[in-house]
Amino acid sequence: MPVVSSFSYYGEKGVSAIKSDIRETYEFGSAKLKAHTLSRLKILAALPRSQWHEGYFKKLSGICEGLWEIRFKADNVQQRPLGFHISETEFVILFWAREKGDKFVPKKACEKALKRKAELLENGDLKHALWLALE
Amino acid sequence: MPYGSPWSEQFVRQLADREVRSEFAADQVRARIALLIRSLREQPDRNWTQAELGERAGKPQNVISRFEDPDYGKMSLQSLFDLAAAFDLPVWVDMPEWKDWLALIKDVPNQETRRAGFDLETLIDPVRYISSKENTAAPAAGAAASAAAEAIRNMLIAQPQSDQMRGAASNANASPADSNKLPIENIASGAMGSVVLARSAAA
Repeated sequence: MPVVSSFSYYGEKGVSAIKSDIRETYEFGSAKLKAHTLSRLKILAALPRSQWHEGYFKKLSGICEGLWEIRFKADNVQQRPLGFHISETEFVILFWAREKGDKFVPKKACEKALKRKAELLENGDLKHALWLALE
Repeated sequence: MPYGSPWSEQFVRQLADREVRSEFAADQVRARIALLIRSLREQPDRNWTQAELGERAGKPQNVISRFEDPDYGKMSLQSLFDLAAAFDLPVWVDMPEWKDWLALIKDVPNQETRRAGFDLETLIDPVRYISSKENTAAPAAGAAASAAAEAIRNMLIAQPQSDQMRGAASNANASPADSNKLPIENIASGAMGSVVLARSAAA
């Protein structure tokens, strides 16, 4: 099955490279974090949005309304990259949160992600194609 | 992406670290088992709830729910056999080379996944067997599958008796072991185009 969904991420253009805490989380993460991130994004990329089942992906509500989380476990921590579908086939990662005891770490993860979503919708330059190759 | 390769150079480079690739491979298997169970359970001709699958596999619903969790990863081989038996499907396990494995993971179990259980009639009748493969073949492979099926169908029609076919196989310098095989055995062994059609030409 070819790639049917794509990913992008929030990042500010620096002098020579894109500044992104999302990318830094991956780059400075453990081998397990890298492996699981690559694996789950690859699985999701091969499926249309309608088949992104809970377990892999979840719509958030309450103060996180307007956001979705990609769900996987790495390093014994629930990883929760937050984002939204900017189109039917493209998911934008806005902030890399973790979950501990039903609460996001950092606590203001949703607030930050929603702020970035608003900024990104105003300024398309903040959106960049994912640095990972999924096929 | 290198010509003829289903993966890009960058993708493979991401797996250069041994620990990354081991964890990646393990997570792919965990996630795929979870997706496969769900896809087979929801296949239109089954359309079972988790409770219904659990009943057939001798497990409570919450266990099935856990098996469909891609992060669970602690399913025993026996549980896998129990689920496969509930779907009336066999299990196949292998440790292939990376190039083969990378090609295999191109496909992700999904709502289009279809796996039919054991059907004696279909398995002993090669024409119907090939036709059923034709109907379930991926679109990209559709033309090749159709052509192969048509060729085999024509060959089978041209040879009304399997006894005659065995004789033809012997005449074509086939090994004694091969000459005792029914066409379905050759088809199932992946030799359908070359071996079977070569015999047809020799006949």
